[in-house]
Amino acid sequence: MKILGLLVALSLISCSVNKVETESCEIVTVAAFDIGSGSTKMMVADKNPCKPKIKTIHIEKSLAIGYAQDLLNNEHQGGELRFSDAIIEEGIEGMRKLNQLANAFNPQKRKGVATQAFRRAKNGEQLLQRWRDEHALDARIITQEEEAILGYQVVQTYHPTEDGKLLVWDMGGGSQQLTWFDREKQEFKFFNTNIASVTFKNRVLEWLGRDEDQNSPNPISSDEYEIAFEQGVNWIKQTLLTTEGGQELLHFIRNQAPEIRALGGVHGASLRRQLGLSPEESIKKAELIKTIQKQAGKTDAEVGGDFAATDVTNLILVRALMNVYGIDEYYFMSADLNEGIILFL
Amino acid sequence: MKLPVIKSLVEFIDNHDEDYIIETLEVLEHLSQAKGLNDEEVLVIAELISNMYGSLEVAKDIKSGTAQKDALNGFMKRVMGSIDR
Repeated sequence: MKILGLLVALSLISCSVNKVETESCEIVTVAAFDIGSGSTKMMVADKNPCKPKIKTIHIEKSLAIGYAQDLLNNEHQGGELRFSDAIIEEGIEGMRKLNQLANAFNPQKRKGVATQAFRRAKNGEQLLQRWRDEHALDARIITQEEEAILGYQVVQTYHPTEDGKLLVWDMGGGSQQLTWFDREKQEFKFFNTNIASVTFKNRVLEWLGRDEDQNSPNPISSDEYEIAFEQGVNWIKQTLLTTEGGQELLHFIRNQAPEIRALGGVHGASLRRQLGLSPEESIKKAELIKTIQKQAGKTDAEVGGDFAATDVTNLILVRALMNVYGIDEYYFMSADLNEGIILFL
Repeated sequence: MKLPVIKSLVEFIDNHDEDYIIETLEVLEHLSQAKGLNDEEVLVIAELISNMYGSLEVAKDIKSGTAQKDALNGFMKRVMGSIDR
């Protein structure tokens, strides 16, 4: 069953088995770029093309580039869903820096995937083309289903789990995907939504009546946290009712009690750092609530880092999601989509 | 990446400040683009860059409460052939 599941996944993300069989098994150095909605992550690693093996990770580097926020700003001003000139410049400069760093490791291949913000932006493809021309970057916009399956494969590679007993929860700046395998129907199931780090933070700004030009809701008082939590729960419940896969997800969690493994910046970076967890440790609802109380009332400077504007709201978002999904504990993974790009694309 | 090198850099960060490493990285990244370097020289610089980024990751882990030994082992396990199935 697992093999069949993986084959479906492999065909969906264009990983050709035949190609692997005919390719030389010499170790190749690959630079991978996960061009997310809130950050661009680069990884250079050696891999064996004949089997899912990363031999050595040479370097990982992440830059905060707010594509999703830029689109939301344009949308808010009634403009088209296009990246602004400013964010395009930032993206070009960021990609130049990351490629310059990757060059030191002499990668034979450069592969990249772009996600939610690029799926929405009308000029996202143009920016990708520029990177293809300037850096020979083999990049494309992947669908939310492809993104979900890629994440599922990464988790299965690190933590092989019986299909039907695993739920993979990937959440970034602009979207989240929950993915599981339906053993009866022999197919992947998804719940995909744009409730994610940046979109939630912007809703919180509205709910708390912050000024329009404010980018961060911090500091958030204890009372405001309760408002954001309640509003968040309502938004998620409504989305579950109206989005394909929502009710199936709740049914799956309730009936299968799956092992839940989480990927993406919200879990693996923001929550992990704020909760002070080691890799592979679990995130528990009780600890989350304690951390929210600790972070409440802090300014961006006190929260610290490039993602301070979304860090506290990420805690509230995950608490609300756990509440609605009926999850008390889940495990986060230090791996991310870049491992999937290197191994499977 | 080499564990003793990363360990040494982590100790340096502990005794001084990670800003030294960040600034040195900027210099090395700039240097790696210099004309006239042969492949071997670029790879030596790349290895230094790699170890320095690794030490920043480990230092971040330690700062968030992980014991140094666990942080070092966890990091090395992840970056050196952690997936071999």
